Amino acid sequence: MRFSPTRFALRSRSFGIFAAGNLVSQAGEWMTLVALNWAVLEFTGSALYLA
Amino acid sequence: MINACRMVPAFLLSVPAGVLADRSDRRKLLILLQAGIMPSTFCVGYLLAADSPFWLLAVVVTLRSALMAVVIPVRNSLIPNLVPESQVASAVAVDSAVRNLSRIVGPALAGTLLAVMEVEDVFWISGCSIVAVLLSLFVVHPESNRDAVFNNIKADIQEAAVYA
Repeated sequence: MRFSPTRFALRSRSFGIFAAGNLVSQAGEWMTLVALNWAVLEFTGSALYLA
Repeated sequence: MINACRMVPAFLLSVPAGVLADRSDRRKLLILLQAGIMPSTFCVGYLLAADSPFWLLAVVVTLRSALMAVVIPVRNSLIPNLVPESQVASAVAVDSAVRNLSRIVGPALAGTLLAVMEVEDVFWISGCSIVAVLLSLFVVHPESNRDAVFNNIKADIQEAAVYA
């Protein structure tokens, strides 16, 4: 299939807005995961609690 | 323990969440779920700041990941509804890029922030980041209700099994 600009999803305004919102919030979700694992290890010092 | 509390609900809820995604107003459901996830993120931050017992933290993390487990299939099924049919393939590709980009940016940002601030402050920031997707959901208008099905629940689960 040849690339055709009309098939590019970011041309759709709704999708572009949703993708931008998702980018920020999913980055936040990964921040939460890293911070959570870090906090548990720091406060308990236990690999079992981290698992 | 903490990661088991995250993964077990995600595993158990994946099929019921998919059934729910098929039969609900995906946009409204996502707004509700995200509105629940945001306070639970703040709650985790508060519990860490308040030196709460570990079991309480584990309970909140379990509830939070139960909500998150429902979010993922609902979000995935909302995406094709936001674009005309000819753009669905591109939408899936762009969404995949967004997902991987956030996976790079998020932990890198968290690592940097953890070096300069307390761990609970990182939770305040990541909780606030949920506002972005909430705002986008308020603005967005689905173009179609494509792929929504209203079979009985048993048929929906059988459908999931067929694809698995």
